[in-house]
Amino acid sequence: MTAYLARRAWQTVPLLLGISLVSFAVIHLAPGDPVGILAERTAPPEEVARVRAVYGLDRPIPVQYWMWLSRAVRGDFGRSYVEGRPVMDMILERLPNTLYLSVVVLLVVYVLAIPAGIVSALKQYSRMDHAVTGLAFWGQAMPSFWFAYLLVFFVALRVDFIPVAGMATYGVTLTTTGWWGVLVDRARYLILPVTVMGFGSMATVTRYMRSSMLEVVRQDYIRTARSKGLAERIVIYKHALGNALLPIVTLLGFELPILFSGSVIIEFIFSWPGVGTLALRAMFQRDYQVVMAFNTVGAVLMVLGHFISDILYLVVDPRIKYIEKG
Amino acid sequence: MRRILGHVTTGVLVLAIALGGCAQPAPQAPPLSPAAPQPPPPLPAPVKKLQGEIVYGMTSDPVIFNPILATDTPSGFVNSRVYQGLVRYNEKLEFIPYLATEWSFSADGLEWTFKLRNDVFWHDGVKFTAKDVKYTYDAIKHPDYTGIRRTDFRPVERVEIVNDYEIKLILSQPSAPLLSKLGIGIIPEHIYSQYEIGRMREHPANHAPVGTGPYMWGEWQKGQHLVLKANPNYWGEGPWIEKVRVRFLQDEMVMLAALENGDIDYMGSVPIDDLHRVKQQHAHRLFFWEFPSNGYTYIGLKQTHPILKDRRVRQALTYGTNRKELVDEIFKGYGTVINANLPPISWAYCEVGLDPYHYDKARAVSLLEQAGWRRVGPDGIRQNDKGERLSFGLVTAIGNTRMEQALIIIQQYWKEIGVEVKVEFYEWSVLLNQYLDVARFEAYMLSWSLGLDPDPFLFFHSSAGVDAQGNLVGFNDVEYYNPRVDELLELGRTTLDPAERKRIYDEVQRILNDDLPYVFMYTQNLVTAMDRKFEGLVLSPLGPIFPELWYIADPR
Repeated sequence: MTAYLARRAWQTVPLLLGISLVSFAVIHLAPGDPVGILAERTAPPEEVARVRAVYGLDRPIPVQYWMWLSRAVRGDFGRSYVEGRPVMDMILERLPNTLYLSVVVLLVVYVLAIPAGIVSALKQYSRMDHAVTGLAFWGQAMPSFWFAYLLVFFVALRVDFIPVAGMATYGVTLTTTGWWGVLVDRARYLILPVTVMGFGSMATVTRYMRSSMLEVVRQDYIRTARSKGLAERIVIYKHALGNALLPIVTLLGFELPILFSGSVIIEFIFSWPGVGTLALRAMFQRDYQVVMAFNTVGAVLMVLGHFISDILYLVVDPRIKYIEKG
Repeated sequence: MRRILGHVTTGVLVLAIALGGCAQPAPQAPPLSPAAPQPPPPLPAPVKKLQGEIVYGMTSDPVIFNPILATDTPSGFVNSRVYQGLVRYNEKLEFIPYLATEWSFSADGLEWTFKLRNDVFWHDGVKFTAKDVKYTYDAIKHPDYTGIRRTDFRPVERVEIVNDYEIKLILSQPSAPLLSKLGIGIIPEHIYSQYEIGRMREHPANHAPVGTGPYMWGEWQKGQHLVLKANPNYWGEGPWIEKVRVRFLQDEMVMLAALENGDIDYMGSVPIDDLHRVKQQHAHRLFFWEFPSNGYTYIGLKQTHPILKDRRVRQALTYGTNRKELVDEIFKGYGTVINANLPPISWAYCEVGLDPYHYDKARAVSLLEQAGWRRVGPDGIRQNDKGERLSFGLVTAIGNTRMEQALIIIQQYWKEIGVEVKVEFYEWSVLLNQYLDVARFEAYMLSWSLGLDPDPFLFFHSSAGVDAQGNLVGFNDVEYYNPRVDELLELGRTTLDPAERKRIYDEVQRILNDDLPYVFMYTQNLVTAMDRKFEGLVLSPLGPIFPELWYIADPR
């Protein structure tokens, strides 16, 4: 097991290198560079050259990549060309906000979607099934920005308890209102974004759960369980559910990178102070260092997500064994 | 003096608050000497006391709190409250003393002497002196400086400290526009000199600014709130509002909802599509102030292009565009058609003797025929005797919905007179790098955001065009070369008498109105909404100014 983990970890190194190389190349090959922010548009060529030299932008791209890489492996991702601050600080001060929203959404989605999928599968073609399926497709099909606007104008503007946008009320802190006040305040701001994001991803998970359950209940061992007279509750929860959850568990691992990137649209509309908006601005301004750090964090989380997925597999399915020698 | 476009490209938006601005159709040009401080409001002395807060809505986070490095509007907003320049503009857009008390020019206009206030302290308690002024201007002129203010200070040859409260600017040539550039905030020498100029951007003070202004740095939760606190030791009157808070709401529609909900007190630009409804529903609580933006939208035409170099074609394109209808259609009337290079709020704006180019299809057609585009081809596009089609390409930036709408309508207008225009949209940096900054295009549509001085040297002087090596030097990317305009623009810079300058710029506008290096389109009006609880507002043509004088009489 340990050897397997070590090997998997080692395999991620070339993968991460590849990802960073490709993103570095793509970012630098795109037209434009940060000099647009660092010098006037009317600056004479020699002045532009000078600015490029100050920031090392005049070197060949492979050299720049090497310089970036040699610092990045030591944990130094450089400073933003625009803000002048270390980019990791900029990302890390916003990352918790994105993760916070995503984790809440994930919890809500799984807590609601798994039972919905089960019910939907067990009562296939019932009115309940049709309702759940219909709702799932609706959630999938509806553009999230449109749904978000509807909620802002028809819910937030009418219900005092629900704020229009943001993450917290200014001045509500542990010292001013105590933990209960803070909790209620933060929850108020979660309602709308969680509804919009949850509605979209709930569809996927519900459908997965439904089809997985449907497949499992048709298996021979379920028939056996039923024929030996076990109660339906035991058949479903003891024998069927465990197996039906397998694909869902792997899904969970893949959610990690999605959690990180969050939803730029939702962050934008609800003014959620996450990393998505930061990355978007950095891309428009060609703030290379910020974009690279963002991509690297994303890549690491993706690799980590797949890794966790595999391990979860191992945990939920005793048949799967990662034998060292293959 | 950069191009503006929608809120997507926040990074290239213009620092309008600290330095931008311009004038109403003022009867006279503002004098360059200090104007009298504005009279106190004629209200029966209301009870002013330090209380309450004002909450602004803003679409993006500020970037850097250093006036000589910042380029974006949100940073400019904070900088204009924390830092102060030597001068600032008043409600008539005249320059009045701020950190300077008075100034004088030598007879040849090459020596400017400024007396400085001697009762000003930085927020950390250190006294403000001439050293800070010299440090700031020298930093901008330093070869390692990375920022966009260098051109502004090009006329300054050196800065000399006379004594702690007097400073002298030695100019290489007289420069009338320079005074408006001295509105730039002065930064503290005792803090920034710890870093060399090349690394100024990394200084921590850029994110915890120390200024001399009415408001001091408070706190900033990225993407959520930014708070400035009243400076209790401010040297002048005010501030009366205890806190300035900015809420970041990236989406314009959501910001509007927050305004309607009472979450914010101030919205700089209410979306015009909702304006009518919002005005009716919230008239009791909100105050609306409409003001023209200090800039204009235009279609730049390459003056060397085989088709567009003919002035008759350029005039035909202007006659053939119903700009009035465009403004009514796209901006619901919140805009003004312009016919030359200055917006109506500029003190140098001129209407007399200018062709208004009222929509006239027949005239457009006859001009095109005179220019040799006689035959209309089977596709409805005109051809000349050589069988060439009257067709050219136009590039513009992606992401500005109004400009996109306008272009669809313009294509239609031009098709009616037999002109084909192929529009291509590009992301901002692509547009600059591959088309505009290398001056390679047939036509392009964009907006200028202008400074407070009417000098258009960088747009229309020959030396701001393409040099012998093929590099674009200034913003004259259409390559408009007119010796008379060159002469006038040089004169306009070196003439210090405002009345004389006005005459010079009148003539420039008449020539440009006739030559049409651009199809001059329109200038947009912005509508600002503000809660009625604020009093003591000073309204300039560019919106409310002097925020330290505002107060809350009745905190609800």
